[in-house]
Amino acid sequence: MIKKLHKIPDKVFFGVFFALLILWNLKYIDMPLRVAYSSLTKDIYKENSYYAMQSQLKEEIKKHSDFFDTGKVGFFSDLVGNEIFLDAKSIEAFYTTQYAVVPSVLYDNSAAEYVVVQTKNIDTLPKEYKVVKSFPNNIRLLKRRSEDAH
Amino acid sequence: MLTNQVLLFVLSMLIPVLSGFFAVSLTDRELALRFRVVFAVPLGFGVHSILYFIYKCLNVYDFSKFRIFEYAFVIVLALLYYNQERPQLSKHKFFGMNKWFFVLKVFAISIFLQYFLCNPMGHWDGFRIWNTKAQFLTVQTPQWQNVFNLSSYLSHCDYPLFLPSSVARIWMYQGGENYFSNIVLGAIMTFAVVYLLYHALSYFKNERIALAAASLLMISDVFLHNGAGQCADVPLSLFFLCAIVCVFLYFKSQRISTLVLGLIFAGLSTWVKNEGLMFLLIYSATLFGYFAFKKDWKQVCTVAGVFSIFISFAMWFKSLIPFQNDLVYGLVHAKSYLFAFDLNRYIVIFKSLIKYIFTEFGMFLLLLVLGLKGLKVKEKIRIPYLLVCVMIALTALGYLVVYVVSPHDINWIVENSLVRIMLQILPIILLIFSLALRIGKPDTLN
Repeated sequence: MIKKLHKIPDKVFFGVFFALLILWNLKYIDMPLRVAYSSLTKDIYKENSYYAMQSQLKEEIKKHSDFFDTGKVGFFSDLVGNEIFLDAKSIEAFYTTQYAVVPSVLYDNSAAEYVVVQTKNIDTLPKEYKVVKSFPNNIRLLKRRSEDAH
Repeated sequence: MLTNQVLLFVLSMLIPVLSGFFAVSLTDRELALRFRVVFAVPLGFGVHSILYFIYKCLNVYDFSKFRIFEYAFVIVLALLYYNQERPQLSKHKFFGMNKWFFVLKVFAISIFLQYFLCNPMGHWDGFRIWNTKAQFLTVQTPQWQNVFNLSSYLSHCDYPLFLPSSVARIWMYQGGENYFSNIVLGAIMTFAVVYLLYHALSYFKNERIALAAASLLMISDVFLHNGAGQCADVPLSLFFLCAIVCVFLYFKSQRISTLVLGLIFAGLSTWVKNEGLMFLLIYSATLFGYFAFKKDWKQVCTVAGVFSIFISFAMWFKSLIPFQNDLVYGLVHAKSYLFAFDLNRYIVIFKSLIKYIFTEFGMFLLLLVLGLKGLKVKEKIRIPYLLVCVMIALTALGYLVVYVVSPHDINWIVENSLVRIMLQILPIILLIFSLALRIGKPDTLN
């Protein structure tokens, strides 16, 4: 069998190989055109949920000169304890917020001067905090009321 | 303003490549030009990433001083290079690359860009782990050190900072966060892997096999998407491949400088991901064992010396982090080593491995067509080939052990990381399989 295979010229094997490679990737035949079209027509940043979320948060944070004073920001959601890291939406909100609050560190289920909350029910918001700004996906930035701070 | 930004962006990319080129040329003067050019990328970006991190640790907070230092660094290297070696480009052969390769490159860049257009901030892990840390490293106050205090263990505070530090350095050149530079850096790293594989195979085997193997890698969506995902796995595969190619080059040339270069690449991989630490140990131990067996004491000392430098650096970096690595924590506190007796974990790992080989990596099986004429390793490269096989087998075994004793849910961890782990060693697998192909002159029996 091996000897029979050796009678076939190498170029046949290479020809089969490259033909199969092309067939395998036929799905990409129009890719250069698709990319050119997308890059001309699409606003890649606005359409990206992480980017949109973190840039909105960053814009808001810029307005608060004391935001980074403690180096700590809290994060709460409808989920309790470690469940925050078991739910896809909650994980996304947590890490997108962490990205936006750099150089502060985001702590789950921790009180701080500023907290970010992901909740559907606004009645559950802690009373000692006031809503600074609401964002899409039920995310809110809260600040501790000044009388409680002292 | 825009021209200035473009100029600074070009400078931020050019400086590491130039200093990498001069450093490679100074280390190994006889090295073929094509290897110097490709090796310049990981060496340059690796060293400048470390330099940027050291600058952060010095708490200087004046980026213009760092920039001046970088200019001076590259100028000194250039002077040393031109002082000791007049570049004689005529003695190096330039190979015109096949037109097919350029056609394929258009498609590869399109697939790469398509991923970027859909995910400008990278893959979820790229954004969550690596780019968040890059953000910290751009902070010009002591608060940047919070990068080591991130609260969630999924932020992996103990991960090495090659990618964040490289990205932060480029962002600082440009005056702020810019994802276009991330994708350019990703493209440089990704296509450097393809070019190195191509050049290594055309150097040690032949042009047609090099073209076949490099084409597979270049058009592979799983490889390109991960490269565009702004994660560290494809850059890590570049460092691994450079170190492995240096083993072959060393045994061909017998120059100690090539051996040093290989060890530097293995050492720098510890700065890319924790897997690099395991690779450095395996790489150095294999070479150490071989040279000790052969009683080549000069080589033994070289391996031990370079290894000690990089292991000391890795230990120093780990000492900065207040948390234990989750794997170490699991072994010490949760007795996760007992998982080694859980047969179910092995079954999950092997089932997923086979699934991914036939799905995500199915296209690579096309290489078996070229293997129909059998396998045969050239006598000239037999020793490095065996050493590399030992290294890669031990690395794969190391990955298996890490999966088995990991404190996390095995299904979750395999689902989330196995493809990327496979990608880290994929270029090396392609290299060693292609080197063993009998097809093509002069090995074929035709």
